[in-house]
Amino acid sequence: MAIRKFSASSLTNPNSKSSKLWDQETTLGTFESIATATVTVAQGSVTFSNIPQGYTHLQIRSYWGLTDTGNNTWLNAQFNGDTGSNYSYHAIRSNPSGFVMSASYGTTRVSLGADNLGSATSYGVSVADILDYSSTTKNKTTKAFAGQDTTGVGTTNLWSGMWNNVNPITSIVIATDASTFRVGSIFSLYGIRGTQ
Amino acid sequence: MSDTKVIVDCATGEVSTVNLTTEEIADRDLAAAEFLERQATEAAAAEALAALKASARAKLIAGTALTAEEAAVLVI
Repeated sequence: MAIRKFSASSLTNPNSKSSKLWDQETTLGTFESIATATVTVAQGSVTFSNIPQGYTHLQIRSYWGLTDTGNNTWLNAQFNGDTGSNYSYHAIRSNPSGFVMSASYGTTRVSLGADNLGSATSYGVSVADILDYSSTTKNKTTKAFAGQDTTGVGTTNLWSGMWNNVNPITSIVIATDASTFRVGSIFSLYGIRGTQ
Repeated sequence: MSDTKVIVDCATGEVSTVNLTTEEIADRDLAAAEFLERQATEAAAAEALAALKASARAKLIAGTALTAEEAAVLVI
């Protein structure tokens, strides 16, 4: 059962007919900041370690730029230090000339976004969810929305991914596959409570 | 490319910058190689598609027969 009515009178009037605010089953997803990494000197990667296990899902919000013009460079993640061929992804990526659809199994990382600009001045954004990250019985899946724009050209992309491992995620390494994060890049890790 | 990384300890909030390990540098080099391979593959595919479309359009304008592949790229 969902929330039926929520009003100020429900809180202030003890005799209100609609005083039931919550059925004690429905929960709203809430986001809590766990940690943020700000790149103040160009860095090869960013690591979130000792990730708390008290949330349902994780979300990584990335504002990222590169130090060079690495056109079509991707934003990648690896979990728990696993550099093996245990990941897979699907992607739809736009570029100024059309769309590219791609998929790969047995990759060494999962991808969360793409730079398609060849620009060393712009920044892109990615919002990536890591579902059931603390489960001990499920392989870990990801979904991400990302984009980047510079003066009329850019990219929008959608990603899904999987880490073929049931272990809870306790650390995440974020890196690009052919460049370095530029000063001003920001990576924020959020925990999501409840359902999504 | 930078040989350092930022580590954020989510339990303590401590932020540190350390050098990449030999294994991490090797993994980064692998990613870079995969990037170059992917870029070459996608560029070749895009070039082939563009050539196919150009050929199909030219034949359409000229009123000559299209191959099945050329027809497929114009009609979904």
